[in-house]
Amino acid sequence: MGTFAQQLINGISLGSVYALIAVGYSLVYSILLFSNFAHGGFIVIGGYTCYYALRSMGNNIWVGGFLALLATGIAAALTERIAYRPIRERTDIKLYLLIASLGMSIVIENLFVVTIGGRFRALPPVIPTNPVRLFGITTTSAFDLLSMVVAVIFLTGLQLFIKKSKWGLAIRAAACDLRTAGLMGVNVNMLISIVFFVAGVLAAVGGIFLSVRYTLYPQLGAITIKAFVAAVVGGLGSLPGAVVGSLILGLAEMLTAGFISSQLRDLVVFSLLVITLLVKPTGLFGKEPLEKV
Amino acid sequence: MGYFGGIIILLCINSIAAMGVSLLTGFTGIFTLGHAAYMALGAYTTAILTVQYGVHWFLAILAGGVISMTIAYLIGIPTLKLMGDYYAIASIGLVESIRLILENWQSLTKGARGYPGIEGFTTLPVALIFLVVMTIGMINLINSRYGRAFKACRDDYLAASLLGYNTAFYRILSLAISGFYCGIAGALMAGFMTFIQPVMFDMMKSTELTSVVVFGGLGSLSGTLLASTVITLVVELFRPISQYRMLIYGGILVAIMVLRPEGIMGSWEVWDLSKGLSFVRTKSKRGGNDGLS
Amino acid sequence: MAFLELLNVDKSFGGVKAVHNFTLTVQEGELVGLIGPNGAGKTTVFNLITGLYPVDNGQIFFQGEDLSPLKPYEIIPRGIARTFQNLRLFARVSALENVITAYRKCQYSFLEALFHAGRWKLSEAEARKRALELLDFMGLADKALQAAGTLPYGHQRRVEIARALALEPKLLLLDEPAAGMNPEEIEDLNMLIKRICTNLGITIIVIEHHMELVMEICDCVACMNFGAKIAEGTPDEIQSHPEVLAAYLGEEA
Repeated sequence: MGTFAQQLINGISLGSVYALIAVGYSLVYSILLFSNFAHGGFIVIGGYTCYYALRSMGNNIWVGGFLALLATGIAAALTERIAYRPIRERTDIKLYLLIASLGMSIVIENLFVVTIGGRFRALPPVIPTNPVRLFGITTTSAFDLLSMVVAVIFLTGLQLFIKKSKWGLAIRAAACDLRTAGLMGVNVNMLISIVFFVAGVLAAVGGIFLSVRYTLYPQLGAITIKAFVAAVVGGLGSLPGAVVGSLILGLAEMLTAGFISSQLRDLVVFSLLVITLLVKPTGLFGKEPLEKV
Repeated sequence: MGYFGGIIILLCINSIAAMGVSLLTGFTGIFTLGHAAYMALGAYTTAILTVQYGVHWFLAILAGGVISMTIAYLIGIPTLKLMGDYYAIASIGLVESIRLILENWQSLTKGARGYPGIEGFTTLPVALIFLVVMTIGMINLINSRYGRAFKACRDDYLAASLLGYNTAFYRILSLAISGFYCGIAGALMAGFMTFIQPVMFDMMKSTELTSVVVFGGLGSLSGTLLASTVITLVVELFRPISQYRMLIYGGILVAIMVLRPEGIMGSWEVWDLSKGLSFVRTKSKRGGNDGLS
Repeated sequence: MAFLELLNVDKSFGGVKAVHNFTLTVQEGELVGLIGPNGAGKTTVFNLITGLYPVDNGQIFFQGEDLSPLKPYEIIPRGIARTFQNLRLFARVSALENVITAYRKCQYSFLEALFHAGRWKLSEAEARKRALELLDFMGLADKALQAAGTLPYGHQRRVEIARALALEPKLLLLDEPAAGMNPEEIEDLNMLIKRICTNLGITIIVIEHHMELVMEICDCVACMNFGAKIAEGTPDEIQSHPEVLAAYLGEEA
């Protein structure tokens, strides 16, 4: 019972970190309808910015975290500006955007390899990881609880931004039909920059938690494949879907690792993807895409 | 067989694999990040059949191609029926899963440390004959009703389906054929190296295949062959600075998409140039391979 | 038995009734105009006939066969072809290849394709010849090898019609073929549509936004507004039909 509850909390905690990443990815997908493979790069940028900010400006997580979020948001918006906007403005062939995003993901990853090396780094111990006894039933770590709380805070913030703000309304309109939103007077380029900034900020939060969990290295971004799968399970382009999919994935992964074999956890992720596509290809919350002729 | 002969063999193998990806990405417009997985399947199938079961190497190579083709077909059914990035995401999952299976199915694959003692059947003539036959097959295929169907799916899948094409069928067929090509390439790789390891067929190899196709020009087979040759030579000649190689790849991928998505060749083929002056006179800015050469 | 029959067809998108209780009968060899203000549901009717969207209610019969459960790739080979309101040519390949792509009589096998053997040579030559004839029929013989995307707009529209004809359809659906053309080109186009109908014996439904254009060539005109058919008759009857006038005036007011 204790172990099961422990794995459960562990799974939800991991799932909530995935959710931060998947929501950002899904947000971009809902507007531009392509998979931004550079999203993993944003995680790495977030992780390293936080690492160096902590090292150089005293171990203050508030300063380090803020700088990481800001820097990653800007890097994400810049990525869009440099690599995607010129393509977007000339053609609507999604394949070109996919290839450009692959290029950006390689560039970001290898910039870190070339400049600071591929060594694994541990974040200074600014996030508590001590064990916590929960309701007398089970033991978990403060880190797991913290990642859940932080994820809830940021996802609620995103929800408020999308539901209440003027730009949030524009984002919802653009998710229905980007071109029409543009015709209605929405500044599409500004909107897309904001979307990438938001996605970058969320990825940075995810990146900081992942670098505490797995240490920090340039290929850490590869883990976003799990967030992508989570987004498909929940329904590509659906934000609630991305959250639910992430939780399912986190749980499936941790329960497999805990009760079957930790080597098989990644295989479970892929199986979930295939099962989803076979049973309900549009995912849990996805809508059938409607073609306009 | 000297160093030079070895490079030629490697060149043949890489070109066969790149042609497979070229068909899928360049001619059918489907993005992949996992074609090394099909190479791995081909390589291990051939290795196991020849070493463990004493099957003749030629039959084993064909079996490698067929196994890869079958797996590609099975992956294609759930992922390519719907438009969207499902296959792109699944391909990353596939390459990871295949690696995990190869590493953990010790009794069959001998695990992560690799599979030794494969007969060195990939001699220079064998590699050349495979390359020539498979190149002719690919050119013929592209210049047939199948090639037109693939290109129609790439350029406008809706128009294609309203010309009576079952687009899902052709997309899955394209993937199956490209899986076959990569499977054969992997099988030849096994006979060339005589020792194979799961890490030889990782994400990096997959990325390289996709990059080669983009460098050569999406929708140009001769461009793919040219780019594959250049990249193979570059990789061999500049081994010492390999950490910068990926950085440069990524940068070029983005640059090509931003500046000239059609790549070096556009959709032009080398053999178009020989069609005589009348064709050159009517040539348009963006190229006009009439597909009947 | 009617050639094409739509019976009480309904289609809605998220609560909006795009097509509502729509009934239309077309006889073989007719040239039918489908008119109506923007957003009346005309293109949706084409999308339903070609199976791009499944119908919510009602049935569509083509030569006595119910099309509603079929997919586009099953419907098209039964003899229906269409063009698109916003051109959907394969921009990167030549005009000729666009037309050949639609030519479905290339019935050689995969192996014959792989080795360029057997029926391949004859089939391809036949396809090419037929496609060139069609481009010639459309007055585009000299543009055959140009990439379709680089042709002027009016030519692209005609390539699209040639492509639709390459399917050798019995029923041709033209979606605003005159959009973006100047009056002179429209005049040519009208002649062409008439010729396709009478010379090639193909039944045609043509969507037009402007009433005047269809009035000249159509045998029969149906007018839609808000997803429903509001009038049907000869061009003369339609022109003086009070509801049609109201629909158009209402739009302009």
